[in-house]
Formats: sequence, C-alpha cells, structure tokens
Amino acid sequence: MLVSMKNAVKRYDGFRLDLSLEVKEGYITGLVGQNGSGKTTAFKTILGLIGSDGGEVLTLGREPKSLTPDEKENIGVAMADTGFSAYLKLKEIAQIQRRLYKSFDADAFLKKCELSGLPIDKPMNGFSRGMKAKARLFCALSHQAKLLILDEPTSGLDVIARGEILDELRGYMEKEGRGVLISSHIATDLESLCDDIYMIDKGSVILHDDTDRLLGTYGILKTTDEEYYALDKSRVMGICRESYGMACLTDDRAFYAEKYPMLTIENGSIDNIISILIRGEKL
Amino acid sequence: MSGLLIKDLYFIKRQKIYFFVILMLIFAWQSPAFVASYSGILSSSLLVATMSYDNFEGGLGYLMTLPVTRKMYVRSKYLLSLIVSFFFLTVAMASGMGMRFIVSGNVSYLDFGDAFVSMIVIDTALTMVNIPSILKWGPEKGRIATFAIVAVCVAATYVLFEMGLEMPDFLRNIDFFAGAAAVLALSAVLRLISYAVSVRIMEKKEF
Repeated sequence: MLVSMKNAVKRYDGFRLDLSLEVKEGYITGLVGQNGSGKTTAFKTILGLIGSDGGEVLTLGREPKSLTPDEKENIGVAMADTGFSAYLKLKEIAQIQRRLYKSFDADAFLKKCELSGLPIDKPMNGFSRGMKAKARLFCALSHQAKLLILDEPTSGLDVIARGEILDELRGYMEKEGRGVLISSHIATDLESLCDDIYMIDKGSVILHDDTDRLLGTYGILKTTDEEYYALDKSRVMGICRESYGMACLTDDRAFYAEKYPMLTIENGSIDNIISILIRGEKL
Repeated sequence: MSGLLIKDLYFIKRQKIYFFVILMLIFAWQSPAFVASYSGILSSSLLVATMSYDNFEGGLGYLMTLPVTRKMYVRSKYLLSLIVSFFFLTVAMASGMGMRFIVSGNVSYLDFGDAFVSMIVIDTALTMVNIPSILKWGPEKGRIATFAIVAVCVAATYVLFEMGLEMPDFLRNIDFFAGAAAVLALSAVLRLISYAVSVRIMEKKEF
C-alpha cells in the first residue's frame, strides 16, 4: 500500500476532514470534490505538511512527518499553483534536483523539457500556465518516484496541454509498483485516467468505486414525479429535484433499463454522480 | 541540503543591485566602518529575500515535499547567512582597506576594528531575529517583528546610556584580537540559540 488513511481527522475552524482512503500499487486513484471539500487538506496530510488530529495516516508505510529524506525520494509532488520559485530556470532546477535526488537524471530531464517545447535557459516566470504545469510534472516525474501526488495538475490548461500531461502519467504507470493520487476539477480527465475514484464533500468520502463500475453500471434515471412515485427505489442511491421531475442516481442502471424500458436513463459520469450526491439527498 | 543552498545562491546571483550598492558606498563614503555596517544590513536583507521567495505562493510547503527535513531547511538558512555575511565582510573590508591605501598611502588592521565589530554585531542581531520571525509569522509580519525587536533593543540601549551607564574599563582596554574573538564567540552563541528556536518553530509549522 502506497498511501493509507484510516479515519484521518483534521480540524480547522468550521471544517473537519474525516477521511479513509487508499492508494494501491499499480493504481491511479482520483480524488474529486468541490472547492473547499478537503482535497488539498488530504494531500497535505499525506505529505506531512500538516499534522492530523486523529486516525491513522501512512505514506509509504510511514507516518508522513517521520519520512526521511531517502524515503521522500520515492515521492514526486506537483501542485497546481506552487513549485520551485519562478525566478529559476529549468537548467538551474536540474542542478538543484541533481543534489536532492540520487536517481535524478539531469540530461534526461532537460531533454524531455526541450522536446516538450519548454525553454531550459529562461526563468519560469516567463512561462505560460501550461508550460509551468508541464515543468512541475516533469520535476515530479524526473527521479523515479514510486508515488506521485498530483493536486490539480491540469487546472486551467487547454485540451492539448492536458492531453500531454495525461499521456505522461500513463507512461509513468508502465513501470510496476508505482501509484498515483490525483485530484482534478476536470472529471473527464479522471474518467480516462483513474482506476478508482473517491468523491469527497465537506471533508468526508461520499462515494468510492472503481472507475469502470462508475461509468459502466451507474446511471441517472430521469423521471417525472409520477414515474418517481411508481419507481422501485431499492437500487437508488440518491435523488435530486430537477425542472422535469427527479434525477435518481443508481449503481445498477441495467436493472432499471430492463424493468422500466420507457424510462430515460443517462450513463453515469463523475460530474452527474457527484452533482446528485452533493446537491440532492441520499437514500 | 546542498540543493537548498544552490537554490538560494542562484537567487543571490541575480541580485546584482546589492553588490552595486556596496561598491557605490565604498567609493562615496570611504569609511570602512560605515560600509561594513551597511554590508551587515544588506547581507541580512538578502537572506530575508531568499526566505520571502521560498514563501511565495506556498513554495515553502512544496520545498518540504522534497527530500529534505525541516531541520535541514533551517540549517541551510543559517549556513547561507554565514556564507553571505563572510562574503560581504571580506568584500567590504578588502575594498575599504584598498581605498584607504590609495587615499592615505598606508593602512593598518587596527583602522578596521570598528568596521569588523559593527558588521558582525549588526549581521548577527538581524539574522538571529529575522530567521525565527519569518518562520513564525511569514515574510511580511516577520519583517515588522524584526523591526520592532531591533527598535526595542536600540531604545533600551539608548535609555541605558542616558541613565549614565558606561562601558566597563576592561571592554575599553581590550586587545583588538581578544575583542574580535569575543565578538565572534558571542555571535556564534547567539546564532546557535536562534537556530534552536527556529528549528522548534519549523518543526511545529503547518503549511
């Protein structure tokens, strides 16, 4: 297990994180939630940047704050709006990383940057947002880490830049024993990348399942009020009132497709599942 | 830790204005004591600048995800302070001596006792307050805290002198080398105390 959180609690004024989560080897695990749902707090707890007020958090089998520099070499981190200072050039970052990581290959890093169109001899403060995001990801990928922690790595990027970043991550996972924990506002990115997804709201997990199951078996039943009252609700997980009547979330859309052939059923997607779970009520 | 130091040295390399100011002071004042004292302030503000950059946009949190410990970060800042101070002290003293030699034709190390002591005292005082203050309160509040602490110290010294407190005779008559050694030893002790406080702050810090 690369990351394990068991009822990890972190309290702030007006906010409480109470999270259980796992990142297994060979898995890309997604973390989805609204702004302020606790994603970044979870990342910070896993990385030991903040302490937890209860529960158990293990990163690479250790309490995060007690990770040694050697152990931290196995972790690569990329965050949305932070990284090395923007006055640095990639060439200089290569020199810094060379001194920080034993398995850092400066030549390969710089070559990769150049191939991606990143100027290695210019300070990063002249980079576009997409270029900075790529540079941060390359830094995280450059030292053969076992675990990648990526907080909104595709935030604010155009579709081409996002595609390149997702391709990099797929390439990274080709080696055995690695794992990724990633958060993103762009659900389609996670749908195409993640093996399993945690949806969190107000600091707690509201749904966790394999992505294949979320997309393959979950669905939204669009009912009028009359259809809703007549509906077998045994496999409805949540409901939300809409202009046309009710949107009902189910984890067995085949059951309803067979039993109610006339019913409008939409395939499950992260966006519509999380929307019903957050805006509506659980059954 | 060398990675952290290199990062800061890359930043300092870009701060050409600091070196330009030192050169201007040397030529304009030709007073080694003044130039050395001002060098102490400049070296300390360079250190503060590296910490401000580290803090910018949550960068310090990111640095703590790298293979370094919190203690290593603090150590790198105190080490950087020594490197920068030594560099500025050497440049200020050497240039001051050179200027004095050109102007008056002879130069003695005794002329620079005041300059040496001023630089060490100012640099130590600022560094030992700056680093823990910035770690505790962040760059902006830390700078204000440093200013407040230094202002209180200056005011306290002024009040003591106004009350008629005089420098003891043994300090007035102290030998140059013994005095310099005492100042350096005191500086080392104060830096060690400040380091211990900074490590404690950093260990408790949340990012």
